[in-house]
Amino acid sequence: MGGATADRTDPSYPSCRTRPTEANKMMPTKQLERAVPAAGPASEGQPRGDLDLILRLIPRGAHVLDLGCGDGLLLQRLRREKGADGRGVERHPEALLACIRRGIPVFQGDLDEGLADFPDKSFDVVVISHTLQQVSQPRRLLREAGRVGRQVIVGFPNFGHWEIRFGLLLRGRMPKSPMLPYEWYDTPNIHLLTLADFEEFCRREGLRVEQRLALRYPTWRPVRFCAGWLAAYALYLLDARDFHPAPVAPPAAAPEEEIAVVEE
Amino acid sequence: MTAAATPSRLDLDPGSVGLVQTEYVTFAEPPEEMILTSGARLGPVTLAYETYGELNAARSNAILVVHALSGNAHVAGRNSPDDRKPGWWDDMVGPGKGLDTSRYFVICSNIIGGCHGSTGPNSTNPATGKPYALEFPVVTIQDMVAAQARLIDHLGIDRLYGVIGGSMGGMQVLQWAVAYPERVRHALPLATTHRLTAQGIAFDAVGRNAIMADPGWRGGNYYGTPGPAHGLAVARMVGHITYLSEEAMRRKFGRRLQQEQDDYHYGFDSEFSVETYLDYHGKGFVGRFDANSYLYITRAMDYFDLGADWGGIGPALARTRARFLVVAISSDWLFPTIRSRKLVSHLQAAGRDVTFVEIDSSAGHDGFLVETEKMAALIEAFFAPDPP
Repeated sequence: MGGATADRTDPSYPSCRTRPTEANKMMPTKQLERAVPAAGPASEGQPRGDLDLILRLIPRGAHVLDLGCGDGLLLQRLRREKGADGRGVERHPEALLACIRRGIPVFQGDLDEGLADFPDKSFDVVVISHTLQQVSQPRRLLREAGRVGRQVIVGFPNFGHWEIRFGLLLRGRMPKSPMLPYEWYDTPNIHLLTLADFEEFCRREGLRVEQRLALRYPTWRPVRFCAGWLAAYALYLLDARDFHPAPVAPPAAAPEEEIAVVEE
Repeated sequence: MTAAATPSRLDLDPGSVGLVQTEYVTFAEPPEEMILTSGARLGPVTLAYETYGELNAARSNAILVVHALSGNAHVAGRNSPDDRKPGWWDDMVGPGKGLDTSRYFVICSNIIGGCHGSTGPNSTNPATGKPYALEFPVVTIQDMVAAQARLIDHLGIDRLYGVIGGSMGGMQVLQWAVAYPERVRHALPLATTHRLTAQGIAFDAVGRNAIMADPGWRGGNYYGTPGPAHGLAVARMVGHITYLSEEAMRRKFGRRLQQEQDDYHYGFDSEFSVETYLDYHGKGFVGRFDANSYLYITRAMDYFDLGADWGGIGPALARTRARFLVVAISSDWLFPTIRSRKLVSHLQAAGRDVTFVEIDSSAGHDGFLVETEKMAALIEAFFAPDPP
């Protein structure tokens, strides 16, 4: 079963506990991640390359926030393998249920609304994996992640991958790849970017890149040279310790407590 | 306790707890009265309660259901085979249901200040031999929970596996988690808030005004007379509107006229089906609820401020040890999602294990009762990783 052809809208969810675990390894997108059933033994402990790499980037015992946490597999592994205390933010009801079933604290929320519920630097690491390209305001999300976390791990598909570049150049069609298998009309990926784009963005915003992992797909092996062309996916570890943007202000209304004081 | 094998239609429903009996416990006999938040003393105190399922040997599978404004101890099953309706949350409580009585020992008691068997303003004041009426001391959410704790002691349970409730029940859940941190493993406050907003207090005030403005109220001393039937019905009507969303009302009634009416009557009797619906439920409420209880209970909701006894909401929530599942209903405008999120961010700031879900529903505040399937799935998932 190839990632590109996997059924993205498995109608049998969530009762499909016996779904082949191979799906875990191959799924290229958030949607597929969601399609994997909850905490049953079937979906645990399976290698999903980028998860392994993210796990390696996170220190033991860290306090982690996973934005767009899907079914919570990363957070569950962090808890088990790293003793990390993790929380997730997720929008989709089925994914939320899967997280809850794993015992992962999760907030239902829309990442496009910012992270007003979380105080500055309240997490050691904020993870944005398979998510950035799907939100409507990625700059705002990254700034919020940098505000809330001391470090930020960002993973996204590289739109500069050679298959994508040649797809558009030679075929004149919106490019697809195993990592980005969608048609133009049904893709959830609305803000595609390349490694160069992201690195320039970080420079401009003052987020220092501590580490970059350029990865092939579906092997998740590192790319040694020509990363901009050969990487299908990239993981960045950003240092946000000195990153202090203004929080995204929730619209107008003053906090309730203040109003109460005024009235008294 | 569940009584089995009465030949009736109950036997046909495997998801029902069947026939149940309301039980009573009395404590705080003078001079050992309960000392209430207000400083007043109340005793003896009786609580009406029901239980479903079996307490396990480790006494670790007890779930306390706490009811909302108009609820009572009768959550599930039927008190007699002829009961027209089962308990108020029968869809949720029973074998194989969200609160699975084949796994959990489910308890629910009527709150103090209530009028369904627990001590309240319509109970006899032992000092006078007459109903308390307004001599009944003002009770708070804290007092309700303190009384429930006595019941849990009486049942020999140290630690509750879960405490769950919506609306004012959710306030009690929060109070439980803060006041008795070691006694609550899972706290499930649904469609609720840690303190009512001005809008919520305002609606309560309208309800109380309707009751107190009814000449039948007689300063609360209406027992033995018809009482403020009209005022209580109006209070219930206002309440009912706040429990539904605009969309739910539009779908349910639209602008339709009542049955067998084709044209306007050009008068002021109820003509629209929404009017007759409110009339019906207002009047029905009068038959089963005490007007003074309505005053006391809404007042308890108004006064509730979870942080007040602990130097703020932060220190209050920092005391808690439970895992929290906070659930909001998307179309609830009485206890709106933003209130739940506020609570969740306080819990988050206090470093608590908290999960927040907003159920997408057009049912309004009532959603916490009617979205049974979604709610049951959440509850089941929430309990799954941490069984009794």
